[in-house]
Amino acid sequence: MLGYLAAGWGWQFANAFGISILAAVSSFFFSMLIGIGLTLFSRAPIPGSRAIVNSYTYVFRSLPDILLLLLIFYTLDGVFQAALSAFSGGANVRLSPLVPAIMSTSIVLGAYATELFRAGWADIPAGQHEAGQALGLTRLHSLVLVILPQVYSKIIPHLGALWLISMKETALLSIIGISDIVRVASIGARSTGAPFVFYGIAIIIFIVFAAVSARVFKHLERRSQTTAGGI
Amino acid sequence: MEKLIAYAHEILQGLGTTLTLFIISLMIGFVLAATVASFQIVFRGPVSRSVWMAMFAIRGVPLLLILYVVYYGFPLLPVVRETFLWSAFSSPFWCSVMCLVLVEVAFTSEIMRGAYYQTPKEQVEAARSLGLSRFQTFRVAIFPAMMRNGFPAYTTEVIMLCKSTALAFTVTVMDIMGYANEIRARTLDVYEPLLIAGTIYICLAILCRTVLAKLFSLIGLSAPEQPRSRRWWSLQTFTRNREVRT
Amino acid sequence: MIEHADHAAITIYSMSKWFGTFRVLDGIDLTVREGERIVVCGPSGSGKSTMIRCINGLEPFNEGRVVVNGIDLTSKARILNSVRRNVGMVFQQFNLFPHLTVLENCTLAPRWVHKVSEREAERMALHYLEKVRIPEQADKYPRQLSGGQQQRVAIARSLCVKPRIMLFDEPTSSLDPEMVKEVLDTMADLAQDGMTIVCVTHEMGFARRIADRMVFMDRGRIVEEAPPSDFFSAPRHLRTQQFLEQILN
Repeated sequence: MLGYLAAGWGWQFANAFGISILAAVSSFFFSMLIGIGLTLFSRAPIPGSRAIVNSYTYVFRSLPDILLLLLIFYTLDGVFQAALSAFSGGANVRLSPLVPAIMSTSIVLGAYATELFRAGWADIPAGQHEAGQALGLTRLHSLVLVILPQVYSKIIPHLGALWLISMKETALLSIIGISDIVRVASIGARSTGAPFVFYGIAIIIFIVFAAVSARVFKHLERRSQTTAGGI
Repeated sequence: MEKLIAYAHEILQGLGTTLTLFIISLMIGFVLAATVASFQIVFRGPVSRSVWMAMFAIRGVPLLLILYVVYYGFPLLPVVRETFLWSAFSSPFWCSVMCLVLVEVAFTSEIMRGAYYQTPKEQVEAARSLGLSRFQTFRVAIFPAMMRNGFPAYTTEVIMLCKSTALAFTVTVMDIMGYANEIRARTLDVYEPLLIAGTIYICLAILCRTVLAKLFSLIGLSAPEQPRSRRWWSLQTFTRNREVRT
Repeated sequence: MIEHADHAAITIYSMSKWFGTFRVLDGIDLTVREGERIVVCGPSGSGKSTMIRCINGLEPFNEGRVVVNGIDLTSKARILNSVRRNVGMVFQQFNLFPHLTVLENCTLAPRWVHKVSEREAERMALHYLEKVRIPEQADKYPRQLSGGQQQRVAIARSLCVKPRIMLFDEPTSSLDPEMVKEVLDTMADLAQDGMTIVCVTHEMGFARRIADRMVFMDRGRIVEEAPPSDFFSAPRHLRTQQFLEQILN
């Protein structure tokens, strides 16, 4: 195994790990934004806002991730080129395949994150909102200082699960030709005739990553629980 | 429009494959998960601990990678190639079933374990104090509570499994996704085949939810009466007394 | 029409509120002078909580006018916020922020609403925590305190924004009996300092001790208003008599 890692494959794997982390972190980040944004939207006094958010979460929790990825991957570039030529008269810029990958993962994870934030939000007693109002906090201050920290401490264990999913989801990048961990492993397996070494390395990377993440989230959970308790 | 109907027709040829893949994995997965979960509950100690670690490891690895290992990797082993095992490993369908079952067991056993440990202690004590045996206690007090606690998470897991079957096309299984992708590659139409396939998957998810809810009420437990917001990720553990205003 | 004098802290003109056909508040008229201490009582469901929640805009009303410190209450967020800066509110369920320490609970509004410096906010918070007699708990989290202590922190938190009016919405109703007294004593201290107070409570002994005026509500209306001496010894209305009989025995 060490022989292969020394023969250039180590660097390949490191590179692939970087790409996977980049994709995982950005889609996790965007899914959080979607989750918070849509939770606010669904609670806003706008007719139909709840129905819109409900159908979004229903559809994207039912749709296979790979299907959405292919759909976005094969159409986004056309849309992007059309928009580009309309604005700048056809500059030759190509869209990185990472963009559709991160988009589709964010949309799918966003659906889960939205459900998560809504559940956490619903668990916050009305009195917390009222106390913020009565003290004269603006909506934004109340959101950032009072509500979100409490939602966070309620949903932190589930956030850990979501983070793991977003890392695993990066395996799909290999299907659209991005050199992620899985793709490097399959290329290595095919070209060297030592499949178990290469698949083994990929599997170990994912397991170690999962174990480390679990530790980190356990720590975050414990930290948030020493502060936020009941009322 | 005619094109759409033709595509839909072609894609629906894969429905049978998707459904068998899904249902077989679901059934085997459930039975094995129950076995693994009860093993972990009954025997505590290093063996049980290592089972848990194995399940944790499987949960951390992407299904796609597992599929590649089983479908592309295993056939290179002489043990697999030259024995009866070959009949299973040479079929992309059964390879997919194996992988889906593996992942399903890892997730479902953890849901069952979690549901078991969420059972209120007082109920177990009450049942034991009435002189019920361990098995009777399980049947009367623990099992119904497990059903109630685990239902939302299990529903999600079933839908996840249904979605995951779509990955089988990467190892040449011709399911719904397989046909849709084939049409896409052949005709260069992207929207039509993929949206048709997407619609079918959404219908399958609706069906799953309905059937599970029915099944749940058939077993004799009233459907989980949870507020909408809480039906999916169960946050009961965090619930505090709600404010009562006069 | 505008009999709103300079010394009136709160004036309510024929305020009504309804859900569908059900009238929660039905033509409420009430004037509270500056420095006056009002105790509101009445059977549950009479609308007393709703009324005081309307005074700082936690609940909207359908009809009538409410003027607080000379500002006409509307649903505009800016106006509501400027009213709330001068009105403190204490809730039945304390509603302390569980993720913040006692001190942070108290400094939150001064720092973010009134833009006071951190050091100044902490100095002020400690001052008011001393006033409610629990400065030693400043670094604890709310769940580490007893109900009575939590409610006293909630009072200190409201005082930190230096309100001109304090509203109390059944502040002792969810407390264990042995903790009621410590909260009532804190409130009595406040009353002695000349704070304008509107308090919804069933603690009649406390009412007799601090109130300038009793207000009795039933079915969304103010049925009787009187100084406590008259109110307890010679209630004019039948409903008031019945209520007092029930609650005093």
